[in-house]
Amino acid sequence: MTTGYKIPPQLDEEIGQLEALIAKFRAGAIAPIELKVHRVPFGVYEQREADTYMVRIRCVAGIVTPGQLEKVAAIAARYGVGDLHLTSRQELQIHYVKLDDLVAVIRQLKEAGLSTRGGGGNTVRNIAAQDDAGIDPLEVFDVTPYAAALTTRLIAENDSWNLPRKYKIAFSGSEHDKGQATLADLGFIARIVDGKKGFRVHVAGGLGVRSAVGNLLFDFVDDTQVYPIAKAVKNLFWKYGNRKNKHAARLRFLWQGLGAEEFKRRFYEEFNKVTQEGHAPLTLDEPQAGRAVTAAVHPGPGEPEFVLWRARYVREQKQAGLFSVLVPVELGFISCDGAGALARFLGGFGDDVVRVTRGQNFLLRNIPAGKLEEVHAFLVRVLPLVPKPALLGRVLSCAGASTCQLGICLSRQAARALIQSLGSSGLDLDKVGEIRLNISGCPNSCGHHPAADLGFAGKALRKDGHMYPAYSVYAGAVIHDGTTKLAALVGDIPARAITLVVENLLAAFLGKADRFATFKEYIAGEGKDDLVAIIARYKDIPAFDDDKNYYFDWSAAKVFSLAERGAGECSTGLFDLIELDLNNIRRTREKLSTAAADQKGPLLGQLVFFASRALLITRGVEPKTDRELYDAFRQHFIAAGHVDPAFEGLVALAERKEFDALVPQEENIQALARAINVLYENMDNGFNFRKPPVAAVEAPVPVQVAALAPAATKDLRGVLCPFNFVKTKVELARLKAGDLLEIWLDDGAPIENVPGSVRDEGHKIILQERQGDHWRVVIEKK
Amino acid sequence: MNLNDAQIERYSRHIILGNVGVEGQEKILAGKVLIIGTGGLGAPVALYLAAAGLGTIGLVDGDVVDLSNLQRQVIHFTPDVGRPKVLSAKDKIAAINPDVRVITYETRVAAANIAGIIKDYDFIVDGTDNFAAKFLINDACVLGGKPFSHGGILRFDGQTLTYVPGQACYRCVFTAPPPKGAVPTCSQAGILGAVAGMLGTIQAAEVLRFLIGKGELLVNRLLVFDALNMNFRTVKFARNPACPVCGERPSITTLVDAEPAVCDLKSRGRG
Repeated sequence: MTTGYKIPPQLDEEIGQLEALIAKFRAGAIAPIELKVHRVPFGVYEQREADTYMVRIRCVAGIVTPGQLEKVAAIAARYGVGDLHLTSRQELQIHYVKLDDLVAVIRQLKEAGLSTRGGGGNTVRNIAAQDDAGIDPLEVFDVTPYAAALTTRLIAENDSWNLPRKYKIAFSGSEHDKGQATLADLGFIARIVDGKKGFRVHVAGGLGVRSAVGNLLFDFVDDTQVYPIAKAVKNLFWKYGNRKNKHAARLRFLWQGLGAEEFKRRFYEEFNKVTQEGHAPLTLDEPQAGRAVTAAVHPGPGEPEFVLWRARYVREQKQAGLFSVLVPVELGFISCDGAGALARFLGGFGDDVVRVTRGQNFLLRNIPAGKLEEVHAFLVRVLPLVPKPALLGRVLSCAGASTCQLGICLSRQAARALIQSLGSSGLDLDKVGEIRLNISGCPNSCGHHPAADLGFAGKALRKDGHMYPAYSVYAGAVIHDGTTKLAALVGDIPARAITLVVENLLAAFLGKADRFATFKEYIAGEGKDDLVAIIARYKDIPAFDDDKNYYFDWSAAKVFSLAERGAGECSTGLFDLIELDLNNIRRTREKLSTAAADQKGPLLGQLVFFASRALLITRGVEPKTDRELYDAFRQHFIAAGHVDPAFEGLVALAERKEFDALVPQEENIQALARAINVLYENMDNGFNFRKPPVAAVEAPVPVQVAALAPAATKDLRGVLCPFNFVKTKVELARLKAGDLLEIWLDDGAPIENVPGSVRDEGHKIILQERQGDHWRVVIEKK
Repeated sequence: MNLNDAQIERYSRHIILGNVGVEGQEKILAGKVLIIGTGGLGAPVALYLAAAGLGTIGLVDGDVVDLSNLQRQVIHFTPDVGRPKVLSAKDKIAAINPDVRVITYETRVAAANIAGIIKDYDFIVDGTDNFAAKFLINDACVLGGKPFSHGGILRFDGQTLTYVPGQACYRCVFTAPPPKGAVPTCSQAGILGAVAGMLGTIQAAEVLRFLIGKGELLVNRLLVFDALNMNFRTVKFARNPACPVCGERPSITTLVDAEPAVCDLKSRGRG
């Protein structure tokens, strides 16, 4: 009998430590971050609602016994909010647990033989396997015992909880790679060579920021090497992984950083050490022997609803007479009552009867033919998607911007809208076959869009200065040992069009179903062109004043904005917005090169505008007015030292729309635009600007602004710091808001300090230019 | 008002400050503040306000300097023992900043004189050492519409709040003086000298912030600290509708003297 993992002996002590930390936190003795670093590796995440937590339960290969499921449902009902969530890595999640209940929840789960350790954080995460491992007619052998035994071993090792980043391992039973082992940090794919069981091994793949397909590490290793390899990769990651920048910390970045050869050399160094240490082989449970079911009685075709359901959800196992049943759970949410009822219902079918799937559904197994009608009758009562086409249950999405700090779009709401619209579209969804429809709320791939047949990744686009929610459309992923490739970007659509694009594409496919056996083949063939055409049809949106609907995300009550996103969090979605302005800059420059002299002024104004706006989003600023825009640029780029203060005069002129005065400044404005490009090129994924090479930095020619007429001029040469600033303030106190004050400052400390201090007080530096041995600074009083 | 060069230099660190600047310093120079009690609290308040350039400082105290005062009342020096406190303090203020105009009242505040004393000032500082005076100052300020800073210290503890007309007053929190003997006085219980400095300095900062109109005053908040373990916290409170002086049906409409607690162990002068 295949069971899950075994609880490590130190778990009790670790739960005790967590309990003590929570008590200390409650007493105010430790800071939230101290609790957090212990809490997250325990699979406990804080939710957006204050003081509530999500608890993620390890279910290796998706294994959960009916008894465990019933307990989890009862715990969730008592301490959570009434539903359970199934994750795309085959785990169970309980939401909205109160801090004071956490330890009770974790202890009760432990009594049920379940651990939350490694549910989150930089740890060995749940080890996944193909949903139908052990029953798949295509598999070489059952990989479940390996996943379970490897889990038991790794979760007993203390160095599994403090890695540079998460470590995800997956198993597939055949080259069809249903467990997505080619998209994992470490993936094992079952093979038999010369009668010996073993695996092809892939490493350093994964979905996320810059998703990557795994790289072949071993063409074949025998099955005794599973643990030494997993351990060696862990040691390698521990030693060399990037702990500083969590956005570039996954194993695939180490591979990219070191290169294949050096990565492998260091891997073998660790692998040889592990081998020399001589670890005990994994203790494998006996794989599920095909239970003999004598002469399954087929009770005739049955009712039409049953027949339809059977065609949609029931598959024959490799064990004759036994069947698997996919239980569609909408976006992975099932009520505790439903889960409890399901668990009790399954109790009579033995322990090895249900697994959580990577598609966030349940897969029942080992159901005798004679029991199918009973199963159907039960499921119909409990889960609303059961009478519907299987495609609807396969729609996958991440949590999205409603609960995720990184989220850009409300992906889950979009997925719900999609399920609803497809359900009432009139399309014959039973004919479309298995399609992976995956939606991520941002480019970070938690909704697995790079692994999709048709995938979407949230982003923000802008029309006439108004931001609106949108999705990049991806299509055509292939997941198969040796030929895995990620879905390719096809185009961008407004979020509002997501349902129409999917419906139209499916309709087009159904119209050509006679020529393409599967959706995959269709996408590889004409589908991509059809998709391009459909995207073109829905790409453009009405102006904000004509139809505001496009500027709201699905189920959102407020106009779309990125303002609430966590500042400084890296997301490639924002890079698109930056690229947009860099393109604007490029185009404006092209226009300038051919513009008549009298048209140059406004174009130069635009150039300053785009240059000032381009990188503001990296500082979490979404200006609504020109004033906000230029003020933010002054604050975050000029005052922060990223852009030379000599450009400040240009910004002031552009803000005041003194276009005529900009014309003689064309050279400087071009230099400003180039400076912004240089900054962008030297920006890392964490939005930090590295110092550009000296050669790339142009010294701007000081801006001569003749049009400025100061209300007062003060010669502060020879006045030491801080009296020059004091006197500047005294002078400013005599002026009205908007008046200009010109001061003369010595070189050195005065020019390095006074303008910055003046700026800090909210005044504007209009101009700063060298005059021989001193500086002329023009200030506009706030 | 135009600052002369000496003033610009003297107050330069205020002028540099974003929230003070020339405008704020001019408000300080025009300010009129009355300090009642020139002891442990009044001393640091007077010193800092003088240094800050306060326009007019009024000092009220009827006592003379006692040798036991010098452990904390830092405005008085050893040769001052036996001199009236207000005169001793006036000399020091003049030495620090000759610009400051000082008005002295060599008396104790009482129901009969307090309204007349406070009426010309923008802000009142309670630096007294007894509950009778504290409640009298509160009532006088509430009835006279004057903002004031309450301060109290004992052993290692300090507390302060700021009253501005229309907001909660001292009586909203502490309805009446504690029964005689329930709370020891400084001379009975002792006081860490630096605690007087800490609390007085906080009161001085309240005065300055009131004058320049920046930041959140300790209004509707009571700041308490325990200097033994050095813990600070603020407790929020609201106006009490049943407050006997500023509530909906006030029972105190005229000023009355309460019997001050007597310092049993006092040898000479006041604590």
